[in-house]
Amino acid sequence: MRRREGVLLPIEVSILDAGLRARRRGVEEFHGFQLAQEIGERDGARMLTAHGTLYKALGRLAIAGLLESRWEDPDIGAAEGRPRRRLYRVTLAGARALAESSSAADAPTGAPVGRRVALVGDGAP
Amino acid sequence: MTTIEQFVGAWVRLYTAGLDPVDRDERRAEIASDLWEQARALEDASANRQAAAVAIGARWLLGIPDDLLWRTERRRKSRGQGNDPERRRTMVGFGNARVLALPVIVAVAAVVVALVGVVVDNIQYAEQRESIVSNSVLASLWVVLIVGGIAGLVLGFVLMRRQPGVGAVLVVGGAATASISTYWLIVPLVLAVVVSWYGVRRARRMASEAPTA
Repeated sequence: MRRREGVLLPIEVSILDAGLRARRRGVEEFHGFQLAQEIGERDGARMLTAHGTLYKALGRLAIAGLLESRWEDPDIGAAEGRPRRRLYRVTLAGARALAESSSAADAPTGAPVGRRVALVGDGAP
Repeated sequence: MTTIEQFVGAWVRLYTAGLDPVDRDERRAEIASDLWEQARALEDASANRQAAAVAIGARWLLGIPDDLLWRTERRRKSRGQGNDPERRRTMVGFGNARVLALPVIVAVAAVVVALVGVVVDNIQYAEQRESIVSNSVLASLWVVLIVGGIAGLVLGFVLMRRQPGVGAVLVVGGAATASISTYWLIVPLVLAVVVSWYGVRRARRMASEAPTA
Protein backbone atom coordinates (compact mmCIF):
# COMPACT_ATOMS: atom_id res chain seq x y z
CA MET A 1 0.00 0.00 0.00
CA ARG A 2 1.38 3.40 -0.93
CA ARG A 3 1.46 5.56 2.15
CA ARG A 4 -0.27 8.92 2.21
CA GLU A 5 2.47 10.96 3.71
CA GLY A 6 2.47 10.95 7.50
CA VAL A 7 -0.81 9.05 7.91
CA LEU A 8 -0.96 5.98 10.11
CA LEU A 9 -1.42 2.79 8.14
CA PRO A 10 -3.98 0.21 9.30
CA ILE A 11 -1.24 -2.09 10.60
CA GLU A 12 0.24 0.80 12.57
CA VAL A 13 -3.16 1.60 14.07
CA SER A 14 -3.59 -2.08 14.96
CA ILE A 15 -0.18 -2.21 16.65
CA LEU A 16 -0.76 0.92 18.73
CA ASP A 17 -4.25 -0.20 19.65
CA ALA A 18 -3.06 -3.67 20.65
CA GLY A 19 -0.27 -2.14 22.72
CA LEU A 20 -2.65 0.10 24.60
CA ARG A 21 -5.12 -2.74 25.14
CA ALA A 22 -2.29 -4.78 26.65
CA ARG A 23 -1.38 -1.84 28.88
CA ARG A 24 -4.95 -1.63 30.16
CA ARG A 25 -4.59 -5.24 31.24
CA GLY A 26 -1.42 -4.35 33.12
CA VAL A 27 1.03 -5.50 30.44
CA GLU A 28 3.25 -2.48 29.95
CA GLU A 29 5.69 -4.05 27.49
CA PHE A 30 5.08 -6.60 24.79
CA HIS A 31 7.12 -8.58 22.29
CA GLY A 32 6.43 -9.07 18.60
CA PHE A 33 4.66 -12.41 18.70
CA GLN A 34 2.56 -11.31 21.66
CA LEU A 35 1.51 -8.32 19.61
CA ALA A 36 0.66 -10.48 16.61
CA GLN A 37 -1.56 -12.61 18.85
CA GLU A 38 -3.23 -9.54 20.33
CA ILE A 39 -3.98 -8.14 16.86
CA GLY A 40 -5.23 -11.52 15.69
CA GLU A 41 -7.60 -11.84 18.64
CA ARG A 42 -8.84 -8.29 18.24
CA ASP A 43 -9.55 -8.75 14.54
CA GLY A 44 -10.75 -12.32 14.89
CA ALA A 45 -8.23 -13.30 12.22
CA ARG A 46 -7.36 -16.94 11.66
CA MET A 47 -3.82 -16.04 10.64
CA LEU A 48 -1.37 -13.82 12.47
CA THR A 49 0.28 -10.79 10.91
CA ALA A 50 3.18 -11.83 8.67
CA HIS A 51 6.69 -11.52 10.07
CA GLY A 52 7.89 -9.01 7.50
CA THR A 53 4.80 -6.82 7.77
CA LEU A 54 4.82 -6.79 11.56
CA TYR A 55 8.48 -6.05 12.16
CA LYS A 56 8.74 -3.50 9.38
CA ALA A 57 5.82 -1.60 10.88
CA LEU A 58 7.27 -1.88 14.40
CA GLY A 59 10.52 -0.41 13.10
CA ARG A 60 8.70 2.52 11.47
CA LEU A 61 6.76 3.28 14.63
CA ALA A 62 9.89 3.11 16.76
CA ILE A 63 11.73 5.49 14.43
CA ALA A 64 8.77 7.85 14.53
CA GLY A 65 8.84 7.83 18.33
CA LEU A 66 5.42 6.23 18.67
CA LEU A 67 6.93 3.10 20.22
CA GLU A 68 9.96 2.52 22.39
CA SER A 69 11.87 -0.72 22.44
CA ARG A 70 14.56 -2.44 24.43
CA TRP A 71 16.13 -5.86 24.42
CA GLU A 72 15.46 -7.83 27.55
CA ASP A 73 18.29 -9.07 29.70
CA PRO A 74 19.74 -12.13 27.92
CA ASP A 75 19.96 -13.93 31.24
CA ILE A 76 16.17 -13.96 31.54
CA GLY A 77 15.73 -15.67 28.21
CA ALA A 78 18.57 -18.06 28.93
CA ALA A 79 17.04 -18.98 32.29
CA GLU A 80 13.74 -19.78 30.57
CA GLY A 81 15.44 -21.63 27.73
CA ARG A 82 14.28 -19.31 24.97
CA PRO A 83 15.72 -16.56 22.74
CA ARG A 84 15.75 -13.08 24.25
CA ARG A 85 12.82 -10.86 23.41
CA ARG A 86 12.67 -7.34 22.07
CA LEU A 87 10.14 -5.55 24.21
CA TYR A 88 8.05 -2.63 22.98
CA ARG A 89 5.89 -0.09 24.73
CA VAL A 90 3.61 2.59 23.34
CA THR A 91 4.89 6.10 24.02
CA LEU A 92 2.77 9.11 24.92
CA ALA A 93 3.21 10.32 21.34
CA GLY A 94 1.97 6.91 20.13
CA ALA A 95 -1.12 7.05 22.31
CA ARG A 96 -1.85 10.57 21.07
CA ALA A 97 -1.32 9.56 17.46
CA LEU A 98 -3.79 6.70 17.85
CA ALA A 99 -6.35 8.91 19.56
CA GLU A 100 -6.09 11.53 16.82
CA SER A 101 -6.28 8.85 14.15
CA SER A 102 -9.43 7.42 15.73
CA SER A 103 -11.09 10.80 16.14
CA ALA A 104 -10.25 11.75 12.56
CA ALA A 105 -11.69 8.46 11.32
CA ASP A 106 -14.91 9.18 13.26
CA ALA A 107 -15.09 12.73 11.91
CA PRO A 108 -17.63 13.69 9.20
CA THR A 109 -16.77 12.94 5.58
CA GLY A 110 -14.14 15.23 4.15
CA ALA A 111 -12.04 15.44 7.27
CA PRO A 112 -8.52 14.05 7.04
CA VAL A 113 -8.15 10.48 8.25
CA GLY A 114 -5.26 9.61 10.49
CA ARG A 115 -2.64 11.67 12.15
CA ARG A 116 0.09 13.24 10.11
CA VAL A 117 3.34 12.13 11.65
CA ALA A 118 6.79 12.05 10.16
CA LEU A 119 7.67 8.41 9.64
CA VAL A 120 11.33 8.30 8.74
CA GLY A 121 12.54 5.46 6.59
CA ASP A 122 9.39 4.87 4.64
CA GLY A 123 9.82 7.38 1.90
CA ALA A 124 8.56 10.20 4.07
CA PRO A 125 10.76 13.27 4.18
CA MET B 1 13.67 -26.78 16.00
CA THR B 2 11.25 -27.86 13.29
CA THR B 3 11.96 -27.85 9.57
CA ILE B 4 9.78 -24.82 8.91
CA GLU B 5 11.53 -22.86 11.68
CA GLN B 6 14.88 -23.75 10.15
CA PHE B 7 13.61 -22.77 6.72
CA VAL B 8 12.32 -19.38 7.86
CA GLY B 9 15.55 -18.85 9.79
CA ALA B 10 17.50 -19.53 6.60
CA TRP B 11 15.35 -17.02 4.73
CA VAL B 12 16.01 -14.38 7.39
CA ARG B 13 19.74 -15.02 7.19
CA LEU B 14 19.53 -14.69 3.43
CA TYR B 15 17.70 -11.36 3.21
CA THR B 16 19.69 -9.81 6.05
CA ALA B 17 23.04 -10.85 4.59
CA GLY B 18 25.33 -7.94 3.82
CA LEU B 19 23.36 -5.42 5.87
CA ASP B 20 24.63 -3.23 8.67
CA PRO B 21 25.57 -5.65 11.49
CA VAL B 22 23.23 -3.98 13.98
CA ASP B 23 20.23 -4.14 11.63
CA ARG B 24 21.13 -7.68 10.61
CA ASP B 25 21.61 -9.08 14.10
CA GLU B 26 18.55 -7.37 15.55
CA ARG B 27 16.27 -8.61 12.77
CA ARG B 28 17.63 -12.15 13.04
CA ALA B 29 17.25 -12.18 16.82
CA GLU B 30 13.74 -10.75 16.66
CA ILE B 31 12.48 -13.30 14.14
CA ALA B 32 14.21 -16.13 16.00
CA SER B 33 12.34 -15.08 19.13
CA ASP B 34 9.04 -14.81 17.24
CA LEU B 35 9.49 -18.26 15.68
CA TRP B 36 10.27 -19.79 19.05
CA GLU B 37 7.27 -18.13 20.69
CA GLN B 38 4.89 -19.19 17.93
CA ALA B 39 6.17 -22.75 17.87
CA ARG B 40 5.67 -23.04 21.62
CA ALA B 41 2.22 -21.44 21.43
CA LEU B 42 1.23 -23.96 18.76
CA GLU B 43 2.55 -26.78 20.91
CA ASP B 44 0.53 -25.51 23.85
CA ALA B 45 -2.54 -25.41 21.62
CA SER B 46 -1.84 -29.04 20.65
CA ALA B 47 -1.63 -28.14 16.97
CA ASN B 48 -0.35 -30.99 14.84
CA ARG B 49 2.93 -30.63 12.92
CA GLN B 50 1.26 -29.91 9.61
CA ALA B 51 -0.97 -27.20 11.02
CA ALA B 52 1.98 -25.62 12.81
CA ALA B 53 4.05 -25.65 9.64
CA VAL B 54 1.21 -24.03 7.68
CA ALA B 55 0.69 -21.34 10.32
CA ILE B 56 4.37 -20.41 10.44
CA GLY B 57 4.87 -20.84 6.69
CA ALA B 58 1.96 -18.55 5.87
CA ARG B 59 3.38 -15.79 8.05
CA TRP B 60 6.71 -16.19 6.31
CA LEU B 61 5.26 -16.26 2.79
CA LEU B 62 3.00 -13.24 3.15
CA GLY B 63 5.78 -11.20 4.74
CA ILE B 64 8.26 -11.69 1.91
CA PRO B 65 7.47 -8.40 0.09
CA ASP B 66 7.94 -6.44 3.32
CA ASP B 67 11.13 -8.33 4.10
CA LEU B 68 12.54 -7.31 0.73
CA LEU B 69 11.34 -3.72 1.07
CA TRP B 70 12.87 -3.53 4.52
CA ARG B 71 16.16 -4.81 3.15
CA THR B 72 16.08 -2.23 0.39
CA GLU B 73 15.43 0.57 2.86
CA ARG B 74 18.19 -0.59 5.18
CA ARG B 75 20.68 -0.78 2.33
CA ARG B 76 19.81 2.68 1.11
CA LYS B 77 20.03 4.07 4.59
CA SER B 78 23.45 2.54 5.15
CA ARG B 79 24.64 4.03 1.87
CA GLY B 80 23.78 7.47 3.18
CA GLN B 81 21.00 8.17 0.69
CA GLY B 82 18.53 8.93 3.43
CA ASN B 83 16.23 11.67 2.19
CA ASP B 84 17.35 12.78 -1.24
CA PRO B 85 14.75 13.17 -4.01
CA GLU B 86 16.17 10.26 -5.99
CA ARG B 87 15.56 7.94 -3.04
CA ARG B 88 11.96 9.04 -2.69
CA ARG B 89 11.37 8.58 -6.40
CA THR B 90 12.83 5.08 -6.24
CA MET B 91 10.80 4.18 -3.18
CA VAL B 92 7.61 4.95 -5.06
CA GLY B 93 8.74 2.32 -7.54
CA PHE B 94 9.50 -0.18 -4.82
CA GLY B 95 6.02 0.41 -3.44
CA ASN B 96 4.84 -1.62 -6.39
CA ALA B 97 6.66 -4.65 -5.00
CA ARG B 98 3.72 -5.05 -2.62
CA VAL B 99 1.36 -5.10 -5.58
CA LEU B 100 3.63 -7.63 -7.26
CA ALA B 101 3.47 -9.98 -4.32
CA LEU B 102 0.01 -11.38 -4.99
CA PRO B 103 0.51 -12.38 -8.63
CA VAL B 104 3.90 -13.85 -7.77
CA ILE B 105 2.34 -15.91 -4.98
CA VAL B 106 -0.43 -17.01 -7.33
CA ALA B 107 2.15 -17.88 -9.97
CA VAL B 108 4.20 -19.92 -7.48
CA ALA B 109 1.02 -21.69 -6.41
CA ALA B 110 0.30 -22.36 -10.06
CA VAL B 111 3.69 -24.03 -10.48
CA VAL B 112 3.02 -26.23 -7.47
CA VAL B 113 -0.43 -27.15 -8.78
CA ALA B 114 1.02 -27.90 -12.19
CA LEU B 115 3.79 -30.09 -10.82
CA VAL B 116 1.25 -32.01 -8.76
CA GLY B 117 -0.82 -32.34 -11.91
CA VAL B 118 2.12 -33.73 -13.87
CA VAL B 119 2.84 -36.29 -11.16
CA VAL B 120 -0.81 -37.32 -10.90
CA ASP B 121 -1.08 -37.61 -14.67
CA ASN B 122 2.04 -39.73 -14.80
CA ILE B 123 0.77 -42.08 -12.14
CA GLN B 124 -2.71 -42.26 -13.61
CA TYR B 125 -1.71 -42.86 -17.22
CA ALA B 126 1.66 -44.57 -16.86
CA GLU B 127 0.30 -47.96 -17.89
CA GLN B 128 -1.33 -46.55 -20.99
CA ARG B 129 1.85 -45.01 -22.29
CA GLU B 130 4.48 -46.85 -24.29
CA SER B 131 7.44 -46.26 -22.03
CA ILE B 132 8.47 -44.49 -18.88
CA VAL B 133 11.21 -42.69 -20.87
CA SER B 134 8.80 -40.93 -23.23
CA ASN B 135 6.65 -40.18 -20.22
CA SER B 136 9.58 -38.45 -18.49
CA VAL B 137 10.43 -36.45 -21.59
CA LEU B 138 6.85 -35.27 -21.84
CA ALA B 139 6.84 -34.34 -18.16
CA SER B 140 10.07 -32.39 -18.57
CA LEU B 141 8.65 -30.52 -21.55
CA TRP B 142 5.61 -29.62 -19.53
CA VAL B 143 7.70 -28.31 -16.69
CA VAL B 144 9.77 -26.20 -19.10
CA LEU B 145 6.60 -24.74 -20.62
CA ILE B 146 5.13 -24.05 -17.21
CA VAL B 147 8.21 -22.45 -15.69
CA GLY B 148 9.02 -20.50 -18.87
CA GLY B 149 5.46 -19.30 -19.21
CA ILE B 150 5.23 -18.16 -15.64
CA ALA B 151 8.63 -16.48 -15.83
CA GLY B 152 7.30 -14.55 -18.84
CA LEU B 153 4.16 -13.69 -16.93
CA VAL B 154 6.04 -12.28 -13.95
CA LEU B 155 8.63 -10.49 -16.08
CA GLY B 156 5.84 -8.98 -18.12
CA PHE B 157 4.16 -7.62 -15.07
CA VAL B 158 7.44 -6.12 -13.84
CA LEU B 159 8.02 -4.45 -17.21
CA MET B 160 4.45 -3.19 -17.43
CA ARG B 161 5.26 -0.16 -15.30
CA ARG B 162 7.75 1.28 -17.77
CA GLN B 163 6.93 -0.54 -21.00
CA PRO B 164 3.22 -1.36 -20.87
CA GLY B 165 3.11 -2.78 -24.41
CA VAL B 166 6.01 -5.18 -24.01
CA GLY B 167 4.82 -6.06 -20.53
CA ALA B 168 1.30 -6.86 -21.69
CA VAL B 169 2.61 -9.07 -24.52
CA LEU B 170 4.79 -10.97 -22.07
CA VAL B 171 1.95 -11.40 -19.57
CA VAL B 172 -0.45 -12.73 -22.18
CA GLY B 173 2.25 -14.81 -23.90
CA GLY B 174 3.50 -16.22 -20.62
CA ALA B 175 0.03 -17.10 -19.43
CA ALA B 176 -0.84 -18.74 -22.76
CA THR B 177 2.42 -20.72 -22.89
CA ALA B 178 1.99 -22.06 -19.39
CA SER B 179 -1.70 -22.77 -19.86
CA ILE B 180 -1.31 -24.89 -23.00
CA SER B 181 1.06 -27.21 -21.15
CA THR B 182 -1.68 -28.45 -18.87
CA TYR B 183 -5.27 -27.61 -18.20
CA TRP B 184 -4.48 -27.60 -14.48
CA LEU B 185 -2.93 -24.17 -14.93
CA ILE B 186 -5.71 -22.31 -16.66
CA VAL B 187 -7.58 -21.17 -13.59
CA PRO B 188 -4.61 -19.97 -11.52
CA LEU B 189 -3.01 -18.28 -14.50
CA VAL B 190 -6.16 -16.43 -15.48
CA LEU B 191 -6.38 -15.37 -11.87
CA ALA B 192 -2.75 -14.20 -11.96
CA VAL B 193 -3.39 -12.14 -15.10
CA VAL B 194 -6.49 -10.53 -13.61
CA VAL B 195 -4.70 -9.77 -10.36
CA SER B 196 -1.74 -8.34 -12.30
CA TRP B 197 -4.01 -6.08 -14.30
CA TYR B 198 -5.72 -4.91 -11.14
CA GLY B 199 -2.34 -4.42 -9.46
CA VAL B 200 -0.99 -2.21 -12.23
CA ARG B 201 -4.14 -0.09 -12.20
CA ARG B 202 -3.96 0.23 -8.45
CA ALA B 203 -0.26 1.09 -8.48
CA ARG B 204 -0.85 3.78 -11.07
CA ARG B 205 -3.78 5.19 -9.17
CA MET B 206 -1.76 5.27 -5.93
CA ALA B 207 1.17 6.89 -7.72
CA SER B 208 -1.12 9.57 -9.16
CA GLU B 209 -2.62 10.21 -5.72
CA ALA B 210 0.75 10.31 -3.93
CA PRO B 211 1.79 13.73 -2.65
CA THR B 212 4.55 15.37 -4.64
CA ALA B 213 6.13 17.23 -1.71
